[in-house]
Amino acid sequence: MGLSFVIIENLEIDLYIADKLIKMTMGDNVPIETFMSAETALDHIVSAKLKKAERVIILLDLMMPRLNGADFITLFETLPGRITNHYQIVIVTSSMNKAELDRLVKKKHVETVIAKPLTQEKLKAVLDQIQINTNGKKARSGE
Amino acid sequence: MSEKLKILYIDDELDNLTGFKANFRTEYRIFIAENTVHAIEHLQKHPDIRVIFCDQRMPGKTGVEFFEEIRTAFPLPIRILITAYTDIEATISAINRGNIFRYIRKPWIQQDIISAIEEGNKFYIANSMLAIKNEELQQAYTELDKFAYSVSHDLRGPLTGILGAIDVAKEMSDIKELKDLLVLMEKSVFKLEDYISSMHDYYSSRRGELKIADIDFDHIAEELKDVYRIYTTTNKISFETTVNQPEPFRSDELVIKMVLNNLVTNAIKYQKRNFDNKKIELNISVYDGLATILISDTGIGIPETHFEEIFNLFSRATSQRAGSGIGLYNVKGGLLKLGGSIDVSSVLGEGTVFKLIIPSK
Repeated sequence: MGLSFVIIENLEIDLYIADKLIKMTMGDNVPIETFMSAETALDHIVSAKLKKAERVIILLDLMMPRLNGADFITLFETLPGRITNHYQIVIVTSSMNKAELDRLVKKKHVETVIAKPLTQEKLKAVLDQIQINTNGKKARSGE
Repeated sequence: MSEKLKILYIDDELDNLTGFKANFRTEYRIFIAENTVHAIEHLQKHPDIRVIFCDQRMPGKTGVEFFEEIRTAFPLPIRILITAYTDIEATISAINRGNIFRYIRKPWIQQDIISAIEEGNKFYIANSMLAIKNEELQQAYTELDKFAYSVSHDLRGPLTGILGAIDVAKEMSDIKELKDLLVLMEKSVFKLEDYISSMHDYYSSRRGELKIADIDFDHIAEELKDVYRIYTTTNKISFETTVNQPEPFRSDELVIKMVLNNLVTNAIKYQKRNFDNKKIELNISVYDGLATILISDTGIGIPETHFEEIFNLFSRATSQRAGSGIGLYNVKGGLLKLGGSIDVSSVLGEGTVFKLIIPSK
């Protein structure tokens, strides 16, 4: 199954951790694209050529200068379904603004929110959850 | 008090007016008006009139009506009614509605007027202080709100980053990888430290009183070069300073240093990577009581759309480099205290020039 990841995170250390944890969980060969700004990530998403069954998990930070995570989601939602249907967004944030998080998690492409710091446990739990939602079966990669 | 208090007296009888003026002109600066139209002209011309005395019985308009009318447009001056016993009902109701501060019985005696002015003035000062304090408080609240919001990100962000890194490190055995992680953790710690020291600048520049002394810009420029030599040499940045100070200049040295430190740190931090001719130029010239300071760099530049907002608290124009979003806010606040100004011009990908103008105190 074609599964890949996109990490959008402006903090170098969090980007490194997310990348590492995905590899530790899914194996070193899983494709990961990393972006330190939401603008360049969006450009990538618009122009990426994906095969029909390919799924991409986006780990998205919220508080970023210039284009923040919430605005990224708004722009992402304006893209055509043939693009957005490949993607599932997981918000990774240190924000404690519950009202804002509740609002965002209701968005069509947003699966869930992970409170920073990201750990292997949290990542596994979310990945399990996502695969149940979409495939009806558990995939326990990397274990 | 060096300047005389300004007092306005309104009465339709010219004798009363001249008598009033003659009695109090040495103590106070007296304005007189025979009718309310003339009185309003005085108030418009002299917004710093402290106390207004007005006779109750005037043709066309009573004193109470006049005070009620001007209360919204001129809320600050203290309103005192001069009246005879027969008008006592109107007076009491005017006091109760807050339109007048107190009343003086006619015919007045000198001591009553003086005590009314002194009491009224005390009340005026307390009131204006309250207004100023209120405004300061409002600003402090707004900033506190911003701080509370930013603390979760700017303080908690690097901390959760370090926590996450520790968690990952536990699973790692490769020393090289662990060392990479340590470098990142170190950066997070520096970021926290940077944040806390800008906080310190913030409070010392906001709350502190200015300490005005002679400024030797040559000395300050040399000091800057020394402090930043380690960064400029390791990053291969040429840092040139030129100072032209033919006349004495007085200002607060700590604030000036805070401003320049922030701007030079930015000029170092926001240099282009992989660029051979990294340069920072600091040019200071003092002329006619004005110091003009130019700081230019060959850095990544600032998009023109961000020129205004970079000076706002917690504003960040780039996500590519570490920054707290407090530095330039402190710079602007510091310059404001010194009565100075700052301008920015920048070309994206070429560099940035900050121009500061500071008057000598």
